Amino acid sequence: MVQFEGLTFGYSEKLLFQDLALTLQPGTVYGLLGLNGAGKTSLLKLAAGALRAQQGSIEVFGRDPAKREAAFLADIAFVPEDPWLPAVKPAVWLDRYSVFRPSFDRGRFQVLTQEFSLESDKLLSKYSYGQRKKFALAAAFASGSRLLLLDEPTNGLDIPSKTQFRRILAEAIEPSRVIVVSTHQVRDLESIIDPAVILHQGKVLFTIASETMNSRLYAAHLPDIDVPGVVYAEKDAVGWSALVARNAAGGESLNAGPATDAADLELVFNAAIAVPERLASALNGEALVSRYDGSLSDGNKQPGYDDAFGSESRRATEVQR
Amino acid sequence: MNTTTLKKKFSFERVELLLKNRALDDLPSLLIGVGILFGVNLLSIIGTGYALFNRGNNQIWTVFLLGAGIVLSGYAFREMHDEKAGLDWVLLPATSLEKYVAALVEYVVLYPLVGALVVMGLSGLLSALELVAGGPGGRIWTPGADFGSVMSIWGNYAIFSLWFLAGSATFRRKPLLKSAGSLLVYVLVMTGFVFSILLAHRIPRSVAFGSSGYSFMWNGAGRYMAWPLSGGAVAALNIILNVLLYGIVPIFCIGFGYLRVAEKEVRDEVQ
Repeated sequence: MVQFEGLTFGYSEKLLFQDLALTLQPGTVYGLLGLNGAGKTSLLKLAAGALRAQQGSIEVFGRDPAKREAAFLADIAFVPEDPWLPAVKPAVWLDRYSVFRPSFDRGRFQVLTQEFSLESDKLLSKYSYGQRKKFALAAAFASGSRLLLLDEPTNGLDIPSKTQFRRILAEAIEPSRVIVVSTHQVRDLESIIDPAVILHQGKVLFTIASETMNSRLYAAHLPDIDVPGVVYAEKDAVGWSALVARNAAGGESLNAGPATDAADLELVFNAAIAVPERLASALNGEALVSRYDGSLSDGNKQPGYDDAFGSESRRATEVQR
Repeated sequence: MNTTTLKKKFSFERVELLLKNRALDDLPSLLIGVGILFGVNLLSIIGTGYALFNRGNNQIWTVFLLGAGIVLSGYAFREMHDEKAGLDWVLLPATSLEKYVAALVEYVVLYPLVGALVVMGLSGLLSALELVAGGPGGRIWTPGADFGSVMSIWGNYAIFSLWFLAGSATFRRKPLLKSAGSLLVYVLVMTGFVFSILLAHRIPRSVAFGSSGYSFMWNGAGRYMAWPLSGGAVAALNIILNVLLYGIVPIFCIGFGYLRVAEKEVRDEVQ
């Protein structure tokens, strides 16, 4: 289990997290979502021990990451957005670096590098961005680590590789393993990340399980949003891409669109940032008190957190699985 | 490495792996250093029949240590400070102490030992080339010929190396230059300390600053301290300076350098 409690952290004068609390359970692939600068990478680095909390505590499988014990470091694998690799060939890398991890599975690594079509006779430093990403992912998935921290893993991957990545990621799910995927490319991964953790203004705004999300919300394309049940909508060329509440208890519900449609994670994320109270109500199955007016989605305003909501963020609904 | 080793707070096996990686990383730089030393001497042999740095004394050894060893020490933690490589460096499964000890052993102990073998070979080769070029030849450097001096050179090199290692752990950009600058500041402060003692004892200016043109006599200060300071006072001052240089400075450098490595954070970006 990975646990952040009362976490406060910032850079120079900018406070990134204040009193952040988050618990990550094994056997789960968490999707870490947030705007640019929300602190996704920093949160991953804090979990890895590459950064240190200014206040509060972090515990990863019972260890303090800040101590950077060898056993702890061998139990985590971090794939940064732009991985660095030394100027050696893959076989040399295996001999020089994988030896620090007793659980490293060389056979699995070979399989993964072959699946990713990585050249074995080329210096790693000469690899392209996508190849470096694939190599780093292969190393992480073969590491035997119980905590996998993947920062924007699909950036730089070609389309077939994204499919491969999703399959490999699914195979990597183990009862004892926590996987955290930080991403802006939610559509690449929405089929596999569960739950989604939305970071905003130094807090965990929502932790939304897929089951809850899809049982309470669905995505629909509407000609008009002046109808009941719309939580959030974005105007497009021919109408509105809307996030709609299903069967809002005691309130209005919209019968547009097939009930089998799933919620769109990108819309859910944008709703979390633009209309967090409406989204929280919908996820809790509560009635929406008003119709959505589209005021935050017409392109004239950036989706952002309303200051008026401010301290309410502490009370933001956490919908756990 | 097995899971039992992994649980150890400090593992010599991990230090050994780190040493091996460092040695392999440094090998190209070392070969370039040897190549330059050989090239300079070869040119000297071709031009004069004599190798410039192979006179049978410890000169070749000193040049090798200071020329390459200090440079390698000064850049020992460049990966740690690198924007991208730093994350991998910090998260490599070994403790900060093991990573620091590996660097320290590599540059303070192993490098001079391996260097001695390399220099012996190089010296033999240069001697042979001297003979071929009609020079004296036969002046092969061996550490055993003047072991006391070799140890003294190694001791002084070790202090410089520790200083530059601490500098490398501290300074993110231009660590070699900044370490050299901080060393210069230290020397100036110590020189100021010595002269302040001399001045406090009202040594005539002509003696304190040399008798010719009032030029500063940094190196000769000790000689002029004999008057009016007593021999005992001079000895005490020498002891203080030696304790500082050979005792306090190395301990401070080791401790400070380690803390810089242990406290290193990879805080380059906000996403």
